[in-house]
Amino acid sequence: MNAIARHSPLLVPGRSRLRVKPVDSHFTDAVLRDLLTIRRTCAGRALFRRLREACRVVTIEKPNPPVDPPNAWTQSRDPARRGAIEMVVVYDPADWPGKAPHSALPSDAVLFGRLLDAAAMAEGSDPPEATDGVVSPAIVGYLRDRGGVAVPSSPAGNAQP
Amino acid sequence: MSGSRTGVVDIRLDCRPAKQGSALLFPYTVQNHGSVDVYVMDCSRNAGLPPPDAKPNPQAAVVLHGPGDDVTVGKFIAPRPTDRRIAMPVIPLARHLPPHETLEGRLDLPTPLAEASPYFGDLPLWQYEVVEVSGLAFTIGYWAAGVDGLAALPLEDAPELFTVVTRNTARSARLVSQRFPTHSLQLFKRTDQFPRTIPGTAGSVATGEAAMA
Repeated sequence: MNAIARHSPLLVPGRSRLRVKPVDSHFTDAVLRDLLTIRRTCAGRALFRRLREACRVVTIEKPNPPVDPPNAWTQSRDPARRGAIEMVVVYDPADWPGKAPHSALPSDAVLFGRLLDAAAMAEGSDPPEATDGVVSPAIVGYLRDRGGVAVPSSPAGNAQP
Repeated sequence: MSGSRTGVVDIRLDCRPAKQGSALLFPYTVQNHGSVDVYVMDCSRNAGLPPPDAKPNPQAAVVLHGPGDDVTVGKFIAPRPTDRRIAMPVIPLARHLPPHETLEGRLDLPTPLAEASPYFGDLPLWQYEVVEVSGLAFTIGYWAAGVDGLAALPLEDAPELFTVVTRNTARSARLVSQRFPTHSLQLFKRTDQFPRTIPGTAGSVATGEAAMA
């Protein structure tokens, strides 16, 4: 068992509703670090409670094959069903933060956003579409709660009309 | 030709496609015959890669089946996936094109053509079906300045390229196309939930004279 996972029963593979597909140890360690960062925040703990209610299981996977430019997404394993279903979050912590302004979020904030989408989709509601250059209020709130990082500004902030 | 709040938008695309070995070459010009500045889609950025690999990539193309039996190829905003919620919309970087000026570009694509989008990785070969297309629509996307609160931010490391943002960046995009009749051109069409409805407003569609093999 991974050293990080030993300290958090929530993350133990096989016993948790939150699973990490073990592609390689770097990926697994980085995902677990992000999950622990999320769990340290009030918003994160509230999100995990929501996921426990809404989802049978959430599996976190690495994009395979990768997409260009790197991205992250959430999808249902069985889109025809609503309710307690399996959600899949696809992201690679190594891709974040990226160089472009719109990809400046830290990897745990990207994962937080995808888990929020997983909860909303499992509850049967449509989460709002991601908007170019705009960080959602929920992620801004998470980043404030988390501390230690500035909220990335919109690329339109210094734009010329 | 169409109007904006601040003037006339008239963008013309001239592409002379050719075949070289197993590649299709699309050298093209975009001419601004209107009276407003436009921003022409040109590159994608490998956002997650560290420098120097994070350079803008002018060969990133969207390829999709349709409309009808045609294939649409070019630089425009890819349709968003319908089977997943994405973290980051992928919006191409753009070049500034003032009125009465011309921009040159070139896109090279390997054959056989396969459907492609920045939101989807390649599939295993058995998850494509081979279809014959009757035409190829070479398409370039652009935004008109002054429309929908457009703002353009030059990149620090490539000031000739702009990140464009509007109130709805995908919906306010426009398209200019040139269609070429084709004969025996095959496309590897994806069999997953690949979206094929291009966002933005379709503009002029010219017909190319040279049929493509």
